[in-house]
Amino acid sequence: MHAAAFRTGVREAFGVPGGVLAASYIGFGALAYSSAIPLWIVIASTVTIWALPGQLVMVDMWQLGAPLIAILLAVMLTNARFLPMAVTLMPVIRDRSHRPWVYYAAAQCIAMSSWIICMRRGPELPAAERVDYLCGLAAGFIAIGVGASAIGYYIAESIPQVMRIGMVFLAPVYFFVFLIVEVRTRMAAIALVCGGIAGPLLYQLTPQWSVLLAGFIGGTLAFGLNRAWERPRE
Amino acid sequence: MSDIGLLLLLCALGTYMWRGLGVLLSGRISIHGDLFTWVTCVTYSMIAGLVMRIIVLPSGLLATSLVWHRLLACMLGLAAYYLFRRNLLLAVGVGAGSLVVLNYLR
Repeated sequence: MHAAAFRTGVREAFGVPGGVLAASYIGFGALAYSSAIPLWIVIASTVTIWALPGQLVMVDMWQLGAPLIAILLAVMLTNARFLPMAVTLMPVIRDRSHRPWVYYAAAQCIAMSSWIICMRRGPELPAAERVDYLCGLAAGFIAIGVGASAIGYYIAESIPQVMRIGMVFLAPVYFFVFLIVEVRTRMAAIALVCGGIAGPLLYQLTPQWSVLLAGFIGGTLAFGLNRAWERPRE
Repeated sequence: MSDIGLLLLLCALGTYMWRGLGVLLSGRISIHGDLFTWVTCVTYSMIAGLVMRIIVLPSGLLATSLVWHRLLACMLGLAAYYLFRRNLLLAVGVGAGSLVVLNYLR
C-alpha cells in the first residue's frame, strides 16, 4: 500500500473535475427526490453502480414503471463501456508487486472521470503506485458523489419550487453540454443525433421501453450509417 | 428487500460484471472490433435518447416549464461553455440558472 499515492489521488479528486462531478450528482439527487426515490437508494447506487448515466437510467425507468428486466438490460448496456475501459486501463496500472485480486477490487474504481484522469496521469507515476493513486482518486470522487447526491436530495426538498426546477435540470444540462463538447469521432456524433431523435419519438410509442429501444435502434442505425460513410462508393 | 433494493443489487452486479470482465480479458482481446464499436454506438445513443427525452418530454417538476425554455437553456449552457474558456461547471450553472430565470419570468 502506497499511502502517499492514495492521498495524492484523493487530493486531485477535489479539483475542477470534482466540482463538475458534484454539480451533476447534486442534480441527480434532486431528480431522484422529485421521482420519489428513497435517499438510501440514491446513496447506495452512487457507491455500488458508480456511473451517473446508468444511475439516471435506473431512476428514470423505475419512475416510469418499466419492467425490472428492461431496466437491468438498459443499465447494463449503458455501462458496457466499462469493459473496454478496464481493458485499456489495466496495462497502465499493472505492476508485479500486486496480487491479481487487487485489480479486481480496483476495477470498481473505474468510471468516466477516474478513467480519463488515470489514463493521463498514470504513466507519470511509478508503476507500483498507480493502483493506489487510482483508488485514492476514485475514493475522493465517490465521496463527492455521495455527499453531493445527498445534498441535492435535501436541498430539492427544502428550497422554493422556483429554484428547484434549476436543480432538477442540472443533470440533463450537464449531459447535454458534456456529450456535445466531448464528441471526438464522426461515429459518436451520428450516434448522439440518432439517439437524441429516437429517444423522444419512441417515448411516445412505449415510455417504458423507450430508453432501451433508443439505444438499440439509434445505435445500430448510427453503426450502419457510419459504415456506409466509410465504404467508398463505386 | 424492497423491489427497488433488488433492482439496485442486480444493476450493481451487472455493472461490476463489465469492470471485472475487462480486468480478466485485458491483454487477451482487441477492443477495436465491430462488437465494441456497436456497443459504443448503443451507449451514446441510449444516453442521448434519455437526455433529450428528459429535456423535450419531461415528467414531474420539469414538465411545468415550457419546452422551448428548456431547449434555450441548454443552448445558453452550450454557448457559455465556448464563450468562457470551456468551463463545464460554468456551462451547467448557466444552463440550469437560465431555466430558473426563464421560468420565473414567464
